[in-house]
Amino acid sequence: MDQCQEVETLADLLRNLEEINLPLIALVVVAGYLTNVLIERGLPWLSDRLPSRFRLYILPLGPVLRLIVFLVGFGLIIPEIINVGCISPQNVLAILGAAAVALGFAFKDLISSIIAGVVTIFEMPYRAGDWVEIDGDYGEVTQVGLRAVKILTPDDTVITIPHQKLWDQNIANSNDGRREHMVVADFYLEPRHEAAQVRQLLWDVAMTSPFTHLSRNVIVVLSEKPWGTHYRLKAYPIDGRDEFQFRSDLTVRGKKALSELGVAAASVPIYALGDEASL
Amino acid sequence: MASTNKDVSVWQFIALSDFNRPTETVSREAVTNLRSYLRALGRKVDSQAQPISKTQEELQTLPDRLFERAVRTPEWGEMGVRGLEDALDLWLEAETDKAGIQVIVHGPFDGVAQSVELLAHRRDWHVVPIPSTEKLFGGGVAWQQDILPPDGGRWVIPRLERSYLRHYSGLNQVRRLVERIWQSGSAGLITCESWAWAYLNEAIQISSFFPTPITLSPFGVPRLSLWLERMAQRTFGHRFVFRSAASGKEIFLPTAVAIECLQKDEDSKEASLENNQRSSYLRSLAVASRGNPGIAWAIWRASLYLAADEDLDAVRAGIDQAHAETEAQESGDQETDEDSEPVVKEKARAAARLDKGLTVWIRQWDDLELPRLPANAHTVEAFILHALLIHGGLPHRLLSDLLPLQPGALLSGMRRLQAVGIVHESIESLWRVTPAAYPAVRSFLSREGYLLDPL
Repeated sequence: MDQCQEVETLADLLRNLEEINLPLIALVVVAGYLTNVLIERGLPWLSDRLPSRFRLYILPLGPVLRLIVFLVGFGLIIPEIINVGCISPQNVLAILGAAAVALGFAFKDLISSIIAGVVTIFEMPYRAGDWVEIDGDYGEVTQVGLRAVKILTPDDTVITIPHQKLWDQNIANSNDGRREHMVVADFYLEPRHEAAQVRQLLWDVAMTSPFTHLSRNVIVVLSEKPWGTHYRLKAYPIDGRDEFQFRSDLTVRGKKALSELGVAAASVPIYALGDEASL
Repeated sequence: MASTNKDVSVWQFIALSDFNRPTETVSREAVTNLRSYLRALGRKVDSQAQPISKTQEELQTLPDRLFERAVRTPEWGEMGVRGLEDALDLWLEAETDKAGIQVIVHGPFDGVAQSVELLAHRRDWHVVPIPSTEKLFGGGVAWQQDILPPDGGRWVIPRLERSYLRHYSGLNQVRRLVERIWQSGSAGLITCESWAWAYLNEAIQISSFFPTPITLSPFGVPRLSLWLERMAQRTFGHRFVFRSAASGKEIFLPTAVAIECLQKDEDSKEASLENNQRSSYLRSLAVASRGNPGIAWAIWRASLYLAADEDLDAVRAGIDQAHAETEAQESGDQETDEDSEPVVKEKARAAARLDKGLTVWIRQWDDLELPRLPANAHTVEAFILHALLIHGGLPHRLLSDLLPLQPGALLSGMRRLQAVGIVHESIESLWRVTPAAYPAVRSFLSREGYLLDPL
């Protein structure tokens, strides 16, 4: 207690070097690291082995488990370094008050990302297995870390995005934990054709794709443009990971079907592109 | 009142909405699911084929004539005709302009389509001509002109699943066909396999045209017991006795008990009273086959077991005994043993020693080597299997037209499935899922999230 009365700085809270159990700290760090590796590799392995419907329940467990590992390790190490018996609200306020300004400027982005990372665990704007678009980058979330999220784009590029984007960016999530998400195939047709017939045909194209989740609605919407008619064929694949294969299949067979019907593609002026997402 | 096996018709039809497949106890189902997950975790990711059941090779030690007598090949068409006529009595008695269209939805391999074809032949009904699948792929609806009898007589489409293709032109054809026959106001009978029915329900909402289909009543324990026992012919004046190779318990229920359960429509409750005297094999068979007699029969054949020469000697001794017409002593209550030992031939033989007839051993359910999907089966295999099921079989050429797979990938997938006994090419040159593999295939498609049939 006498020692505690002299606490004025963070250094005063630290134990003497000879009092610190360094082997224990090393053991905790190594064990925490190995556990994290096990989680990172074990969960995808497990989700591949079990039926596909379990995949999007297993993968999101990763950040939660890693957070638990971090908290446990933190809880084991801190008492070894700091004389916790001397911690009181007055001491903490006095010490942090001095350190906060210096630390805040140096690590504000890191701390912001870490705090945002904790928020994502509870709020779940994205989780492993989700297809998201953040700040213009679209891909499948492969890992949700403490500071950043990794997404794998369709071009097989890994993009690491700090969690702090959560504060001021829109996050578009295509499937939000579900296995399937909507896929849209666009068709641009010259204006002289029977629209009802084309609409039925495109619906049949979707209903006859083996990728299609038959229990989800297939929708064909269209809008008239100055240069022709824009059709959007909206359907769900059984597995969201087949998004691009599915869209390709719809497009290939849709083009063939339209060609057999004698419907020609439109010639779209370059300046007209960009508004196709309005439907 | 029916008192013998032959008096009872096990082929009955019910409304499709009333179909309830045989189910296992919750604990047993949990164990089965857990085993499949553990098997999935422990799998090796390779493409090596799993061995096809050796049972048939072992059975070849049994003289062919005895094997065919023990598990006679059913006459699929003939068996179901009587039950079909009973189910359709109101439709048959109605006048042709008032009878309407009756739809029968049935599982694959269950013989219902053959029964309908036989009934149509006997009653001289018009069978609607459906083009071959290759011709259907060409598109066009010209073939649908004048397909119904001009005199307004009764007509039949025995296999609606062969009248369409999962293709944008094929869908248009079946849509037009259904609309045409629905609007005709004539008296017709349509049979459709359950997988095709499920698909057409999503694609063209076929159940809104024909809202009250009927289906074959599921084959639970009592029905299976009566039917399979009936399939075993008496030989040399003596019947076959089917016993579990694990416990020695008899497989079939006493005839009177089975008939009573059937007439009371009680599948599990009453039958389970016999479980302490009878093997639980039939319960497992009913659950695995989902009440489908064709699948049950295929698995039953795979379950018959003659292990080694000593078994054959016992069979030969039984034949000699039958020839000499030696009578065995009557036995009171047969001893049963609740224990299950790894090898219980001695105990089973003890139970069978006083059998009047030839004893055929049935493998323990957990030891059955039914076809299983390759360990790394995924999208390619799922596409192939689902396409084969919703069409009731397809020629290879059409598979490559209907599926978005590279020819090499398709061929490789077919070979993998064929090697493990999942698919085979029928005598009609159609690739089909094998009956014994059906439970594994359905389970696989369910896990992968594909549309399933209602049975």
